[in-house]
Amino acid sequence: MKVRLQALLFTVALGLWGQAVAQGNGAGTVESKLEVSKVVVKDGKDSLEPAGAARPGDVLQYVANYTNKGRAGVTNLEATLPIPPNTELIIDSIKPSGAKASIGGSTFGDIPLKRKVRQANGVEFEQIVPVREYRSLRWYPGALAAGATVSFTARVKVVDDRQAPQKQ
Amino acid sequence: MSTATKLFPSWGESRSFIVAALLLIAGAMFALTSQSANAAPLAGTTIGNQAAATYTDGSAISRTATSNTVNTVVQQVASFTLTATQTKTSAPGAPISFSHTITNTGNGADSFNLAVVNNGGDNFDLTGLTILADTNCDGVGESAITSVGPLAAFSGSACVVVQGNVPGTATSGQQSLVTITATSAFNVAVTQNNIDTTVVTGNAVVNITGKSISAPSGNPGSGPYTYTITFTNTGAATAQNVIIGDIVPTGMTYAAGSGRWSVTGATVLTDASNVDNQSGIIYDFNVTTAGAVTAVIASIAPNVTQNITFQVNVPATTPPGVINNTARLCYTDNTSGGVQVPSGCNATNVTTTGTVSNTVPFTVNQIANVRANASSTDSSGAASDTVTVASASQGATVTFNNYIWNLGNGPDSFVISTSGSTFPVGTTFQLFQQDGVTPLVGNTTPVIPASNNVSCTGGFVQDAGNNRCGYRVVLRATLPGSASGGGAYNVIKTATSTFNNAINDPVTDSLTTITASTVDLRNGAANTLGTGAGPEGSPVTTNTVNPGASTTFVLKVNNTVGPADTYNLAASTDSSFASITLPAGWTVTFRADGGVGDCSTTGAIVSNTGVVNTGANVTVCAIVAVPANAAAAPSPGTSLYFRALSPTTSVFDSKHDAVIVNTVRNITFTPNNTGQVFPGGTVVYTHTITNNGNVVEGDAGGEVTLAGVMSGATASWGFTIYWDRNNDGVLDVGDPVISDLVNLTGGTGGASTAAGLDPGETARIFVRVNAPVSAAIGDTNVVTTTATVTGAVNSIAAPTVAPVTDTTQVISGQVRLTKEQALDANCDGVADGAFQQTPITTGAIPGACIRYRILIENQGTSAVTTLIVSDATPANTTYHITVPAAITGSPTNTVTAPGGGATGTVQATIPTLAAGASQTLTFGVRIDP
Repeated sequence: MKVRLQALLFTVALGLWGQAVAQGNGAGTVESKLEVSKVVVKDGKDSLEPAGAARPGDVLQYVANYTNKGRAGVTNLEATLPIPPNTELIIDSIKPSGAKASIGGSTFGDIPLKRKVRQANGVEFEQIVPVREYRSLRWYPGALAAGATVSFTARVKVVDDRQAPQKQ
Repeated sequence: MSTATKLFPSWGESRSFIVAALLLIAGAMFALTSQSANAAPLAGTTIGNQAAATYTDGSAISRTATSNTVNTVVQQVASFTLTATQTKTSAPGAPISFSHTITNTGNGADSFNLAVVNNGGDNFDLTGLTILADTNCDGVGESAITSVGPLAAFSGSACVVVQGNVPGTATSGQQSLVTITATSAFNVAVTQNNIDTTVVTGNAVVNITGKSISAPSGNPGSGPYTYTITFTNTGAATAQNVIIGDIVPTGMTYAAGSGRWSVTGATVLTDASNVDNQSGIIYDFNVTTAGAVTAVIASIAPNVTQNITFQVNVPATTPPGVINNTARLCYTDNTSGGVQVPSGCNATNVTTTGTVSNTVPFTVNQIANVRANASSTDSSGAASDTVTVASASQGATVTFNNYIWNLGNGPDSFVISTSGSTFPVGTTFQLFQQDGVTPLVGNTTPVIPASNNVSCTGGFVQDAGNNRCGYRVVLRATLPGSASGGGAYNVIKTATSTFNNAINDPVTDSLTTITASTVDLRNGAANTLGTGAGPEGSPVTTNTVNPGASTTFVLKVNNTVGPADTYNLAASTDSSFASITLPAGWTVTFRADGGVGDCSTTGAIVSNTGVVNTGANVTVCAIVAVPANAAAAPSPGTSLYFRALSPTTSVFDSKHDAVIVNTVRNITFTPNNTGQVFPGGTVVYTHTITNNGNVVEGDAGGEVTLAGVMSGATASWGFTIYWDRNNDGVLDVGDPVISDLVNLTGGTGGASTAAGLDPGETARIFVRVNAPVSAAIGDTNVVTTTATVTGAVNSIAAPTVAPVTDTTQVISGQVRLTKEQALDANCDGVADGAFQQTPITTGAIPGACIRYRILIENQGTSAVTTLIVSDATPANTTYHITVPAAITGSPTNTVTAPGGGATGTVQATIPTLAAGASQTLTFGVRIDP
């Protein structure tokens, strides 16, 4: 029953905010379109299939397209692609290169991300952040001329860590 | 990974509540379970994603673009574990049981079919082999089953017992192997199995026949709960040195002095010593093995069952999840010559080497709790529950930062909803993640780590004092352009736990007021004229223009307060702009400035300023063109208002300017005429007086007067000046004598109706001259009629009007010609109707014919000789020969004419026309087709 209740909550929330989202899109001249596909290897080649459903371990490909529908160019374009919960970024799949990554979503750094960790003995050392903790990517194309389109691609793997329970 | 983490897997993502829900549906014995944060997502989980971008548009305004949302639903995969393969000893003819635990590690609820069989190749088979349910996991089977489940995804588990009997014929040292197999109902290809081995002995056989806890679950901070460990000697000999070890699991604390033994009843077993023998038992906690209960019982006779109990508490800081516990046991299997079972097991290592009991689960409940506030560092109740933004511009986007703190003992995510908005109608709200850019998909926060979590990394904020993690949720309210002032505007944002949607906390986002945007429309290249709100009481700028010319006003549109905006341009004589009106024939064209900012050059025609950034201004050139016939508009001129109005916010400013149209004065009076009259006759001359200026002339008495003087022969001559009031071109009885244009009133047929002449208006003036009977043949009389204009208009001096002259000569005979016309539509040479002097108003179309008749009368007192009457084909006509030109009195009188279809003179010659006699000349023309 709770499952249904949650679905209901989500629907209500969408209803509340749906218009706002539409308005937000219309406020500017750049339009964004996001596509998702499931990557299936057939005969040694990647094949893209609809991604309405996926199993743990499957690979999803996100392509975010940005089109400047206005009559003037825009500048300072920064495109953010979240890495959804339950998925893990595949670093080699980032296109074009040059994207930065973030674990929190507010600060972006060069890949691989590093962080300072303080041990119990007080000694700090630098640690490579596990890719699994990456939660968003950001590209910095800068200017986008009127009528132009840019695309950003990344693949993620649906987390699959079904471990044997601990021995008792 | 630490031991703690292993024992208490943290709740993973937002699916934890679903796990709980499925468990409720399944009715499984474990109310709650958990899984690693990095495990596979639950079947049915939606992986939603929405891209976003920020950029700067041409107005230097930072904007956000958000994409559609794409969703992928996670599918179920089967996966589970079955534990454990084990070996037990038994006396011949005794029952034996093996506890097993099935744990669903798949990402969806699943059931499992069970089967047990005796293996081949061993020494004997167990009889009465069955699988029993063990719903309370105490190691004691209840009823026969063939399947378990459904078990919740991710470590939902069930206990079962394999039970059988060792045949009495089995002998010491013999072994029996049985295999228990579990098969996933969701995917029958997924199976697991354990092998249970029975070893027959003639010595003592002591096993833990059941371990249990007094309650299956409890809240953090509850207790005590009692663990009971029951053990039985089913062998044929007395067991010695029976050692029981039990590590108190992390997440629980041992209750001091809670140990009891069934043999000594209520006697408190001492915790602190592992050498004090209390009536056959040595019991300690945390002495022999750290964190563990260790009991050593001197001996247990065959077929004796005993138990040990101790109590634990659940601290408030224990995270939610399942705490599993097992006990272990070893012993010496005979009073003499016995061996240690299992081999090598003693009091110090029993917790790792002893025979393991069934697993007893205890579920620590998750308690949801949340606080939403304005602080990024303080989750306590004292923190502000209102986020206030002092002011925002019209149409602006207001950003509110709210912090959602997880006060619960388990990781939880929270659905953000809004209610009770008092913001202006038309305000739209949008929720963003803590970066303020990425939309909050599903209006749900990420899973926020549980309270008592020392690390809040990964986008979370931390309340170090209370050891809690929070998450910033950004609400953006986009105000409607039209609303300003007022306030405070509030909206209540509520964070509701997804684990327990009865738990929520509100925070109020408040905007104190909306600052009204302003625009200031000014004049002049220096952008200084007319500063402040218009319309001004008197014109700020006055330009002068001649009729038929244009003048340019320099408009400066200043965006004085508010975000970048655009403004529509308008001009009107109505200062309120309730209507957009201009004087007749006037036009106002707005053009962009050519670049210098002073309209010395201009660009494209515009109706809108384009974007004007905050604090900036743009130059617009308003070009006012007046028509050639524009009425004079002397100082202060005609007021003209300009307005700049934002279509977004409706704010506007207007500017009061004025246009002076120069005064032009010009009156013409034409033409000069000549005529003949016989003595005592009269002749009427026609003139036209026209006002070619742009002011009314003669609308007051004495401004424009008409007067004539005679010269030449004047004795007894007379003249009178008339106005053709009915405008028919003929002096009628009703046409009045006129000497002042102020009398040009009441005209009909297009003649002036009001005093004086309006600009462009004309009046037909007749001068009738009378010759006296005594006039001598050959006398010439001249009447000079003058229109005299006096007084200045708009400081423009009166113009001088050239006079007209009518020259009349006295002749002895007087031949009068009267020409009439009639339509001959079908060109058959015959007039269609009566001849008349009045104009043909219909039918005179190209290709039609007109017949002319000229009556030639001698009104004199003597005959006229050699009279030649000439006429001609009018312009745009040719001579029509079907009925040729003819003169009465033929053949004495003759006529000549052009060839048919040609143009030229039609001339009649009358040798003699007697006094009082008359002749008639007729001919036709055809209007050029």
